[in-house]
This record gives sequence, C-alpha cells and structure tokens, in this order.
Amino acid sequence: MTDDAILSFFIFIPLAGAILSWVAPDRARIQKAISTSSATILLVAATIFLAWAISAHRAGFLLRERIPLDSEWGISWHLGIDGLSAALIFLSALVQWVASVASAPQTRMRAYHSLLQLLFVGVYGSFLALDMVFFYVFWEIMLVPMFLLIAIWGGDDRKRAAAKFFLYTMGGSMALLFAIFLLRVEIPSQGVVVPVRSAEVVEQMEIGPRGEALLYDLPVLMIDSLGRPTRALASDVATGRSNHLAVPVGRSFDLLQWKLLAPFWTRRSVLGVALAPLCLGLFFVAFAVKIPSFPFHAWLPHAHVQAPTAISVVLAGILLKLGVYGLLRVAWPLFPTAVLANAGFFAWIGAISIVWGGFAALGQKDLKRMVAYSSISHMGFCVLGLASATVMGISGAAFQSVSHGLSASLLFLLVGVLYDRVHHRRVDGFGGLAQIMPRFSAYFLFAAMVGVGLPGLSGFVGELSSLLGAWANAATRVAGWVSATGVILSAAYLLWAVQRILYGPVRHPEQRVFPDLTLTETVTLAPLAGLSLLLGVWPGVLQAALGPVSASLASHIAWVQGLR
Amino acid sequence: MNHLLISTFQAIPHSLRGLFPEILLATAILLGCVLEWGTDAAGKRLVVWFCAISALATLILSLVTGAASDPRLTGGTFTPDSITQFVRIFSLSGAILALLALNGSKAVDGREEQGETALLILSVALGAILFASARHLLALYLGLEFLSLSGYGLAGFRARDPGASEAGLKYVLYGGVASAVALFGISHLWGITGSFDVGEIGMALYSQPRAVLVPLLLVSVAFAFKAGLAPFHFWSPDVYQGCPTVNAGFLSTVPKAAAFAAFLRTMPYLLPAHALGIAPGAIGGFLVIAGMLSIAMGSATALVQKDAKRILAFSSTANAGILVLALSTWLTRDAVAALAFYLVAYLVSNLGAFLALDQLERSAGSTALASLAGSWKRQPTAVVGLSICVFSLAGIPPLAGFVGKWAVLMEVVRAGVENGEGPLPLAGAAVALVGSVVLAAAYLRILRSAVVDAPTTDPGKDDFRPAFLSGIPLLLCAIGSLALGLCWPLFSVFRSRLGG
Amino acid sequence: MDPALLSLFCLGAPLVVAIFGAFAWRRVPGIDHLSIAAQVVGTLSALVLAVSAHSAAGFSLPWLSFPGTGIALSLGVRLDRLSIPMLLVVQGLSLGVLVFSRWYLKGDRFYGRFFASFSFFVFAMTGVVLAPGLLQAFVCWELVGLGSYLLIGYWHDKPVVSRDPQYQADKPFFATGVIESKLSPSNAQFKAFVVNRVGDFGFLSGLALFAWVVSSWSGFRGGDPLSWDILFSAAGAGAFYQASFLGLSGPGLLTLAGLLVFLGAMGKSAQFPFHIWLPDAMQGPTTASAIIHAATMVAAGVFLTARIYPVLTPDALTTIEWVGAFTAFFAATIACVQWDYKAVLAYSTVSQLGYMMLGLGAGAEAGGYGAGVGHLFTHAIFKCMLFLGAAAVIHALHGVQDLGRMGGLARKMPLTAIATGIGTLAILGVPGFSAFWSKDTILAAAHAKVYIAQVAGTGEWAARGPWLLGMVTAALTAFYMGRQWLCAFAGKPRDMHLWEHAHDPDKASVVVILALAFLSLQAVWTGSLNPFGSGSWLDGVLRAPGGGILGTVQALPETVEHYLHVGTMLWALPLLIVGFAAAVLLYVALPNMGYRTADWLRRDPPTNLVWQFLANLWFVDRACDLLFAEGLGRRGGEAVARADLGSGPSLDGAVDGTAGISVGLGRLSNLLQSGRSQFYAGWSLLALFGALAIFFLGVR
Repeated sequence: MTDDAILSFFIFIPLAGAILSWVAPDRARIQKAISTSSATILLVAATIFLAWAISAHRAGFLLRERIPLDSEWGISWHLGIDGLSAALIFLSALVQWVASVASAPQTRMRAYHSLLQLLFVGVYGSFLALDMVFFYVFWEIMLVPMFLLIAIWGGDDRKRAAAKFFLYTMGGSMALLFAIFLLRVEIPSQGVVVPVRSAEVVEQMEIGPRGEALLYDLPVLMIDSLGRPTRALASDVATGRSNHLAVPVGRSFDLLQWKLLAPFWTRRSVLGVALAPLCLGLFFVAFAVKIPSFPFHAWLPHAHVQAPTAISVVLAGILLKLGVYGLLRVAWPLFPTAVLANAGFFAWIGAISIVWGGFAALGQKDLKRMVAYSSISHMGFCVLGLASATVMGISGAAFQSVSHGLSASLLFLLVGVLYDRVHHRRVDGFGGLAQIMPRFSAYFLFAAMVGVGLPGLSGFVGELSSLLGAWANAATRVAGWVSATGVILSAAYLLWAVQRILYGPVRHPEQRVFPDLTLTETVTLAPLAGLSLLLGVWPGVLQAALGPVSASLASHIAWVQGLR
Repeated sequence: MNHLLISTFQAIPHSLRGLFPEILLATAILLGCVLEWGTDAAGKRLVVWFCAISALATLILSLVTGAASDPRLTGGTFTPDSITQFVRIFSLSGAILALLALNGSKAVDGREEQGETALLILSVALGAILFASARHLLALYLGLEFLSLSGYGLAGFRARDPGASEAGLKYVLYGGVASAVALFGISHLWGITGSFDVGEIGMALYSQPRAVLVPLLLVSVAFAFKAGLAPFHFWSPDVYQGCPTVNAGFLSTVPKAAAFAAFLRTMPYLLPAHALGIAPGAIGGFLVIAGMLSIAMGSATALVQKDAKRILAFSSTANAGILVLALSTWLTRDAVAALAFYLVAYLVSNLGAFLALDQLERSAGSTALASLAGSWKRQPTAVVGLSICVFSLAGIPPLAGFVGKWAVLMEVVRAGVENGEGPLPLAGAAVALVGSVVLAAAYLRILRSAVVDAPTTDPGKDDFRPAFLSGIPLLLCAIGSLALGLCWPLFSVFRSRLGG
Repeated sequence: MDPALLSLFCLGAPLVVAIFGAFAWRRVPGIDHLSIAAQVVGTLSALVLAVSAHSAAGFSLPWLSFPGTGIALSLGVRLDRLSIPMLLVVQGLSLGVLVFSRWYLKGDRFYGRFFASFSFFVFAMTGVVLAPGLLQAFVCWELVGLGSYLLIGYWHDKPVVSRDPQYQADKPFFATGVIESKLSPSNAQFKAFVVNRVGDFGFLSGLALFAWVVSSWSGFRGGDPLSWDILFSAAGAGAFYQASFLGLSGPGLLTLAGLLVFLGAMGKSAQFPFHIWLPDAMQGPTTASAIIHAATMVAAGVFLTARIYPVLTPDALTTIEWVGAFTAFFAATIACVQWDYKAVLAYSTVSQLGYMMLGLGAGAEAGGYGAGVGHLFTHAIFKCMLFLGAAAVIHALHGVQDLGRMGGLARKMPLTAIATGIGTLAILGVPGFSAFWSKDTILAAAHAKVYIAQVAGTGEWAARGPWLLGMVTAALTAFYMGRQWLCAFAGKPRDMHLWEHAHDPDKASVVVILALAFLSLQAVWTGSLNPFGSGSWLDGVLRAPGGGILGTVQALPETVEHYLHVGTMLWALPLLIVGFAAAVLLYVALPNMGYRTADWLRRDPPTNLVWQFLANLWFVDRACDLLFAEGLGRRGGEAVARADLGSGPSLDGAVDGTAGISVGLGRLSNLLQSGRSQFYAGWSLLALFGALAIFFLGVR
C-alpha cells in the first residue's frame, strides 16, 4: 500500500530508547524519564492509529509497508496494521507506559529500562509483522529481555521461574518454527494459482500503475468460463464483473500470501499426514503456551508470581495477548477447514482452562498467584470464542484480550501496591483494608468487578460475545455452556479475596499506618480503570475496530470451508 | 644476483601459483620460529604480533589470488577451489582473532610460551587449510596430521601445568587412534581402487559400492574426530577444560570448519551413488543418525556440566550434529551456503564466548559456573559480549546463530519433504529443534551465573592490565554475531560464492 | 413530553446521585437531600407516566453489533402496562425508604455511602424494569446485584456475629440455624452475590440459547434477537422448531430456554434452594432490606418471569408453579420458629415470593399471570412497610431484634403498632386488606388450574399439589405473622428496661409508614369498598400479555371464575382463623396463664423434633455450606490448586519431569566422561564397529 516506513517507527522508537537507556547514566530519574517518554511517544502514535482504525471501520489494512530482502527465500520486511493490531498496539503502548511509570528497580536501572524497551520492540514487531520470518524473529526477541527482567529483578525463586518461562516459550517456538519450515517447503517452486474470495479482494485491493487490481502486491486474475486467466482491472473487481478471481502465489514467507494459500494447504499432506491439521496443531501448541491454555500453562504461575510488579503487568497485559493474536492472525486464517474440524476440541481446551483456572484460583493462598490463575481462566474465553469461528466468537476473543489486558494489569498493580507496603502477598495476611485504604479498596473492588465480568465493565463484553459465539456453533455449544460456569467461579475467587482483604475488622493493627494510594499509583491505575469502564459502557467504540476484521476472518473461514 | 632472483621466480611452476597463500603462511611460520628462538621473554610479544600480521598478510594474499578454477593444479593433490578459499578466510580470520586475544589473555601473558602458542595457532590454521583443500587421500592424511599435531601442541604445550599436559596427552592418544583408523581405511581404499584420488574412488562406488563404503566409513572417523561428532567427541570437554581458554576457543572452531570442508569436498563424489540408488540412503541415513546422536548426547550432557568451558565443549558436539544434518541433505546451493554460514556464525559466537570467558577468568579465577557468579559486577562489558555470543549460540534472533539454524534446518526439512527422503530428515530436524531447547537450558546456566547471580565473594581486584587492543577480538565477535543475524543479504553472498 | 424521554429521569436522576456520591460521600454532607430530591423527580415522572401513558412506548439504541451477522444487541427503554406500574412502585417506595432512612441511619459512620449505594440500586432496578429486551434485563440485573452487594455489606467492618459482643448480648434467646461463625455483613454480601451468580449462570445460558435460536431463525431480519418483540415473535413463529440442542427441539428446547432464564429469577427471588442468601442479607441496614430484600429487587425475579411469560411453555409453568408452591410452604414453616424479628420477615418474604411464582405458574388461562403480578405489587407495599416498622422497632430497642424481649410495645409506639398491624392483616389476607384480594386470586388461580386439569383430564394431581401447599401456607402465614405482631406489640413487656426507652420514629418516617399502611387497604387496589366484589381498576394491567406462544388468552367463563373464587375463600378464611387463633393461644393466652409455652414447644417431644428440624432451617443452609462453600469451593479449589502446582504429583511436576528426562540422559552420558582416554577410544571404536555391523546387516 505504501512504502514510507511509518510503521517501522513502532519498532525503532523503543529500540532507540533501549540504546539510549543503555548509554545514559545509571540514575533512576533519568532512566525512568527515558523509558516513560519513549512510551508516551508510542502511546500517542498508537492512539492515532486506533482512532484511524475506528473511524475507517473496515477490514482491510490501514497501512502496509513491504521491503523485499531475500528473493530466493522470499523474505521481506512486511508490516501492516488493521483494526485488530491497532487495538492491541494501543493496549501495548498503554501497558508500556504504565509499566515504565510503575517500575522502580532498586539495582541496575540502566539494564532494566533498556531491557524493558527491548521487550517492547518484540511486542510491537509481533503485532505488526506480516512476514513469518519476522513474526518469528520478533516473537523470539521477547524471550531474552523477559527472561533477564524476571531473573534479575524478580522475587526469591526468580531464577527458576525465569528459566521455566524461557524454556517453555522456546519449546513452543520450536513447534512454530517446524510448522513454518513445513509450510514454506510445501509451496512448489513454480508457485500456485489459488482462488480468492472476491469480498477479500474488494476489502484489500490495491490499484497498480495501469489500473490493474493487486492483492497483497500480487496480480489478480479473472478466470473466465473456459478457465482462462486474464489480468483483472480494478474497475472489473469494483463493479464485481467477475466473481471467479484467482491469484498466483509464489514461494515466500509472506503471511498474507500464506493466507491466500489456505485452500491449497487443505489439499496437501506430508508423509501421508494431512498438512493443515498437523501445522495447526504445531501452531496451537506454540500459541497456547503464550495464552496460556490448560495443559501448557504451568510456566505462568511461577513467572507471574516471581516477576516484579511492572513486569507481571506486561506479562499479563500484553504477552498473553500475543498468543491470541497469533491464533487470530496466523493459525486460523491459514487452516480454516482444520479449525472447523477441530472446533469442539479447541472449545473444550478453552472450557477446561476456564474451569481449571477458576478452581485453581479459588484454592490459592497467595494473592498474586490467585490473579495469575484468574488470567488462565479469563484467557480461556478467548480460546472458546476463537474455536467457534463465528463473528461473535472471534470479536469476543479479541475484545476479551483487550479487556483482560486492562483488568489483569489493574489487579497486578494493586497487588503490587500491597506488596510494597507489607512485602508479602498472603491473602490471610490482610483484613479490613477498606477502613485503612479506602481509595485502594475502591480500585480493588472495581478491578475485581471487571474480572467478575460485571456488565458495564469491559470484562462482560468479551465473555458475553465469546459465549454467544460458542452457542452459535453446534460443535462448541456444550463447551460454551460449561464455560458459562466461569461467571460463578470468577465471582467466587475474586470476591472471596476482596472480602477477606478489604472487609471485616482490621486483622493486623500494624497495617493501620498504611498510606492510601500514592500519586504515582493512582496515575497508573486511573487510565486502566477508566478505559475498562468506557469499554464496558460503550463497547461499540472498540468493536468498530475489531468487528470488521472478525467478520472478514469468519467469512474467510466459511468460504474456504465451502470450497471443499 | 638480480638475475638469479628473477630466474628463480620464473622457475616457479605455474601450478604453484594457486598455493601462494599456503606457501607464504609456511614461510611465516618458519621465520616465526627463528624469531621466537632469538628473542628473550620480553620479545615474545613481538612474535605474536608478527604472527598476527603475517596471518593478515596471508588472508589478503588469498583474497587477491582467489580461488583457482582448475582442480588439476599441483597434480591434483590440492584443489584451491571455493571451498578451500572459504577455509582459508575462515581459519585465518579465526587465527587473527585468537592471536589478538592472546595478547590480552592472562593465561599466557608474560609467559615464555606465548610465542610458541602464536606459532602453533598459525600452523593449525595452515593444517586446516591443507586438510580442507586435499583431494588426494595421502595429502588429506598429511593435512590431518599437520592439523592434529599442532593442535596437540596447542592443547598441551604448557609443560608445567598438569591440567594442560593431561589435556594434551588425551588429545594425542585419542587423535592417534582416530588417525590410525583413518589410515587403515585409506590403505583399504587404495587396495580396492588402486587410487588415492577422491574422484576416482567416487567412480568406484558405482562398480562396487559396499566394498568401498566400509573403508569410507573408516576414513570418515578422522573427520568425525576433528569435528567433535558423537561418539568421537569424548576428548573435547577434557581438552577444552585443560588448555588455555583462548586456545580452546580456537581449537573448537577452526579444525571443525576444516573437517566439514573436507566432508563437503568428498560428499559430492559420494552422493551420486546415493542418488543413483546404490547403497540406498546409507550415507545420508548414517549422517542423519550420527547428527541426531551428536545433538542428543551433546545437548543433554551439556545440561549437567558445572564448568562453562565444558558446557561449550558439549554444545560444540551438538552444533556439529546440526552441521552433519546439513551434510545429509542433497548439498543444494542453499544447503552448502547454509553449512558455511552456520560455520561462520559458529566461529564468531563460539570463539566470542570463549574469549569472553577468558576475560572473565581473570577476575573469576576459573570458568567454573560457581566462580563466574557476579561477573556482571566485575566486568560488565565482557558479560555483555558473553551474553550476545551465547544467545547467538542458542539461536535466538536476531543473532547469527539463529540465521544459521534457520538456514540449515529449513534445508533439512526440505530434504525430507521436497526430495522425498522420507521421515529420517524430518526426525533429524525435530531432534535438532528439541535439542536446541535443551541446549538453551544449558546456556542459560552460564548466563545465570555470569549475568544474574550476585557475586559470592567481594569482587576480586582485577589487577591484570590487558595489553593494547586485547578487547578488540571479543568486540569483533560480538559485532559479528549481531551483524550476521541482522544482515540477510550476507547469506546471498554465501549462496553465490559457495553454491558451486 | 415523550414518555420514553420522561422515563429517562427515573434512570438518570438516581444515577447522577450515585456517581456523585461514589466520589464525594465522605466529604459532601448533603448527599441524603440530593438523593431524596432525585427520587422525588423520579417518582413524579413515574406518576406522570402512570396517568398519561396509555400505549406501549420506548426506544432502543444499538450497544454492541456484530458486522456480517445483522445482530445488534441494544439497550433502551420499554414502557408498557407491566413496566409502568412497576416503575411507579420502585420509584415511590424508594422515595419513602430514603425519607425513612434519614431518621434511621442518623449519625451512622457510613451515612453518606448508604444514599450513594441506594441511588445506584434504584438506577439499576429501574433499568431492569424498563428493559426493552433480555440483554438489558441481564445487564441491569447484575448491576442490581452489585447494589445489593454494596448495601448488604454496608457495615463491612463488622466481625462475624460469633465474635460480635453486641450480637451475643442481644441475640434471640434461642437463635438456631444461622452459622454464627460465618454470619457477618461482608460474608453475607459475598454469599448473596455468589448464590445469585449461580442463578445468573442459568440466565446467561438461557440468554445465549435464545440469542442463538432467534438469530439463526429463518425469519430473523437483523436487529436485537433478544429484544422482547423479536424474541416473542420468533418463538411464536416456531423458531425453536428450526433449532435442536441435546436432542431437544421445538417445545422441549423452548422449555429448556425458559427454565434457564427462570434459574436466574430463582436466584434473585430467593426460590428454594437459592433462598439461602436472603436471611443472611438481613445483615444490611433494615431500611435497605425494606426496599431490596422485601419490595423490589427480590421481586425482580417475579417481574422477569412475568416478562418472558409469552415464551414459557406449559411444562415450564408447571415447574415454576411447583418451585413457587414448595418455596412458599418451606419458608413459612421456618418463619414459624424464628425469634429474630427481621428473620421472620425475611422468611415471610421468601414465602410470599413463592406465592407469586405459584400464581404465575398457574398459567394464563387460570388467571395466574394477573394473580402473580398483582401480588407482586401489593406485597411490595406492605412488606416494605413491615420492614420499615421493623426498623422503627429495632431502632427503638437499640438494635435488639429478639421477639422474646419485646412485648407491649403497642403502648410505647402506637402508630408503628397500628401500621404494622395493618400490614400484618394485609399479609394474612383478611378481607378488606390488599393481600386478601391478591393472594386469594393466586389461590384461586391454582384452584382454576386444578379445574382446567380436571376438564382436560390430565395432570390433575400435578396441579392439585401446589394448590394444597398454598392453602396450608395460608394458615402458616396467619400463624407466624400473628405470632410476630403479638409477641412484639401485644401482651406484657418482657424486658422493662428496653420497653421504657421505646418510642415512635420521627414525623416524616411515621408519615411514610402510615402512607404505606393506607396503601395496604384493599379498596385502594380494587377501587371498591366491597371486599368480595370481583374485578379491579388494575384489571387492565393484570391481563395476561398476548403474543409469543400464548397467542390470545381466553380466560375462564365468569361463572366458573366466580365459583372458584368463592370456593377458595371458603377454604382460606377458616384456615386463616385457625392459624391466627393458634398464635393467640400459644403466645398470648397460655403465657398469660403462666405457661412457658415457647419453652416446652422446643423442649418436650414430639414438638421439639419438629422444632429442631425447622429451627435448623431444614438443615438446607448447613448442607449447602458443607457441599458448596466448604466442599466444592474450598476443598475443590485446594485440590485443583494442588493438582496444578503442588508438592505432590501435579501438572507442574509432570512438566518438570519431562525436563528431568533430558537431565537424566545428560547424567547418563556424562558417566561416559570418566576422564580416561583409553575408555574414550574404546567407546568410540565400539560405536564404530556397531555402525559397521548395522551397515552390513542393513544394506543388502
């Protein structure tokens, strides 16, 4: 669409910030100033893009930049932003801002802040990348800073937790890598001509110099009744003169071209194993580790509990969302038939995550770990919604990602507030805080209610849409019904914690001296809370960005399924 | 007098021209010996510089002369083709890095032996080049022995250090066995085919495959020994641990490259047999299995080591395994390029890691994981270098190791899927991927003690004053591991130069 | 002015106060006046609507739309003959209660917060009443839950009653049943929310089921599938025959959907077994209980059931009828043995809600709809008033709620006594008071259902059961309500000290009580002074709605209906008298003769067995606590937590185990690294020979 590298700035600003922090003197003030200002710049940019996405209200990419790097491998520096990535990038920028304001490392500030920004290089990169090589690169880049941030500045058991996070995620990435290789070598050297959904062409079409229609920089062909291809002109597509459109796709790692190949993947098999289910499984493992879904979540309690507050916020607020984004952007578009064939399985994975995580959260004595398990439970709704492959489900999953980013960040910040004051996180170590720290208590109750999914707060919208989606698909209906028990569980564990911590008589008199929220804490909490209220009261504003993308994906899936 | 010189010059056979770099290097080594003999302890440093400069000169010369096209030079014993050229550049730049580091290394600084070390490094480089460029089996054997003997010296030259001499001895014994097996294989081949020429032996494969394949297997033991492939890798941990860190770094990279270059030279002659369905899958299969074994043993064993150098030793075995997987494919242009790229990435990352450890050793006293704790406080820059190099070894993007792994494993998967070689290559790729996770766990243990752990003792005063420019090689390695990861076009250079 | 816009005042005014109060209740003193002003606005607009609006009106705005599906979930306002009167009841009662609370809570430490939370509750409740569709009903349903949560936990800093010296001093002289180690405002609010959530799980599932069926219905033309109109028309047009789930289709599926939503109604309306939260909720301020846990919120379940009436199948209605009947009976029996003034009222509320469900369940032909909804209104008024009376009594006795220490209060606080007396007569269903009209209609409806069953010749006993339970409950009601009033106001004072200081509330509050008492007269509702006259000016409101699967309802012939009414009356009045007489005998006559009846009732067999059973609330609360709170919640949670990340065998351990495999392999192969090079060489050669062997065997 455009070659001017606007999007690259999302990657280079934090990179520059990281380098700047590295060379700047090792003083808390300066370091925080650097990382906060880089985060602020990004936040402004992200807000602009989100506003654009909301006002544009279409499924296509608002902006793409593509610079071919290696023609033989078919690697190109390919970034793009649409409603989905705009929303998630905005969330990332917000969380980065909150994290850099909230973080107060005691030692090695230089290293801390440059690593923090390096981490976000990976985050923005993964949300923007449309080339599998770079998607993978950015995906992996996040590992190192996160590992070090947990391992150096974390709690008592930090090293084990960090290593666990690193190896788990790397294991997942290896599955991802293997799938990428398999898919890449499956593309024949002479390329393939695949049919395309005319709606997609209309959504994404670009017009070449001589008025010919281009789709993701590939020429669009019209197949006439005798099967003869001719170059389609933009006017033909616009007037819908031909609905038999096709695109020649060659060897590359380009994600969008791989999406066009979806009908091709369904036909292929490697060593007698159908390719699509195999690679979908590999992708799912890689992304489920990040989400994390039921069997792959064991790293999360360790990492979340050991990480310093700001880093837990980043983990829960952003890194988990990358898993959902991966499913939405990579796995689902590439293998629609396999997705529909295994919808029930995925839905049950989601349902089990919801119930298992909920019960596990119910059984926790450590407040932070309780929040960690609540993340597993809440992210289960994303998987459930995606499994249904309906518009409601998909947009619900996306919405739930954003909303959980807000609520989990809130909860982790609040737990951090307590930890700063008493240096422990045992639920039974508190009581009657509502009398001591009223403003804190108000925020805590608010955050809990977002987690509970109280209507009027963002948590409800995601869960509702996911459930509606799950009910709308016969394969995921029962799982969706089971998942609805999540509303009981979340109320149980969150409000039980609320009641034990905030209410009742003051159990530890020495806590009477606690100061209420400081200015910094309020500054980090308020925007998150306000946003989740806004999204709860007026979800349409975010839905305008997420809806069209979800609808396009849903119809893509249905279309590919229809081809068989 | 003048006439005499000119006439001698003209008298040089045309055929020798391709070997000018080697000749220059040999001359430099001889001169170095004289110089070393003539100078006192203070002057030894001069010898090091002399060696470094002459290595640089040779590098330039070889770049100037370039690869000769005619393989029939020097009666077909040596073929200074693109592969040789690669090994020249590789081992000479490795030698330069090692020599520069030698200057700053506490292990040999101010000692009598630094001159000798420098000379041995040069001769290892020379041996590597000869070994890699040999097309004639006897020449190959000579190269191998040249390489090994100077390697033994490099490992165990410090007579007063029991650890070093033990390392040297083990190296000698083990190397002896390996070369004996190889020699047995060579004689066997001569007996069968009546020729020492790799090409003719390749032809003989068609006529009597099984008779030829067995001695080939024996010969390949020598390669495996040099490459540190399982199960011929047992020497490497002890040797690396015993000998000075810089030398270990040099020994773990350059001979490996030479061995794989030699593999690379012989494979094309052997593969057609494989292609024509003679001894179906035998060679490729053997290679894949050897690769999987090396990856499994190397990465798993690295996980339980307590010394950073030993971890790197086992990791070098695992990396050799991945390289062998690359060999097992149909050496397409991309495969060869990937192999070479992987070797270069491995050179910068692994040598860099060793050099960083060498620097940390100063204040830590040893490379045991326990004593490395808190290095980040004592030598922050060196630790940054270490982390970059080690993460590159672990194959984390955007570092050199990642690109190498990417290129190699994709070729392996392609071999499985596209060339229809069936499940074996895919299994190899899977093992490589799992192994790289295990290996990453081992690397994390190094970083954990060096980067994360708080110093157990108060930071020992680093009284060592490294010589001028001693940090440069580590810097170069770190930059290299970063640059090779970031600059994709570099790969296409490999593709165009080596894709013969 | 557009009625829909006018109704926005009822929503907006309290909301503004709530938002303002949420931030400022600590600092700004005038929050109580503000909320009362807002309530005046709300009440006036509701009044205007009640008199002016004759036809259904409303609007709805899209809230969340899904492109490509045509589904646009929407919020808005729906004014019709069900919502307008309910709106008036909610707004008016809230106004009264707010006025009363100014006196009741004067000088309380959280004074301002009460009015803020209360206004929020009113906003949410109004939202439920005005809901144009199932979605907003659910949304505001949850917000109502939050309001109740905040108000129950109003005194959140109180300890559990077993640790509360005040409670231990004043507790009923044999309080049983309550789990004292767990009863506290904060626990009660938690329990209330979670128990309601269990019901809401059903509500949400039903909502999703409706959404799926309607939006996949061939006749769906976009819009909000959950809005009443589309929902009912889809159900009417047989959308449920086009869908199937778990082998259910058509009526079966519709029954499932209706009952799922009804599950939510059971939660809010404290139907058995969800009733357990309501008595605990009495931990909140009595005035809050008056509006939330007596008049409006708990009635929301009944309201919702009336709302979705057009999609309730006969099977669903029968289930509802049984649930209601049993709840009515069950709660009434418990109320008979309670000695806590508020507890009696709480259980009577549960029982009356059961009555309403029983009425609704009787079905439209039997006139059940009108009966249920009518009782909803009348009960709201007099139960609210009874609670305010309770508030007056408790305030007068400095927090003592023990019937056993009251008595003779009529002389000290006559106006309260009169008002409460009227309320008691009303709930008894004495001719001339409101419930005589409404409750007897319910019993008549139940009776009518029996009649219809007889005519149809099917399910007669399924219909007779609820009717019988309802009749018995009528007697029980007479007993426990009479007992309460007699113990509190009649007879001799049992605790002179308390009695001395008792007094009526201030003027404004008394006016409120008396006004409500006046509204509890039957004439107000029927519009005629003849208590036995049939018909009421509310008939228009109480006519069952058409549409949905109901089509047009034909009521029973006039004569049959009249016969049933009279028959019911002839049954009900004697029962009533018997019940009341028993109360007088046991708690006034015999004690005056010097018998400690209450004591032997609970001491001597066989009555003490019954007594223990009832006083322990049929052991339902304990069972639920054991099974769900302790069992499923605590133990289950801990079990899963252990299974996930415990010291024993756990998922995390399994993962570590797989990692351990590679470590083990490493240790194993590290054994080869003995440091002896002769071994090294040996192993290598061994491997070589092995390879050769394989080679020879393998390559043939």
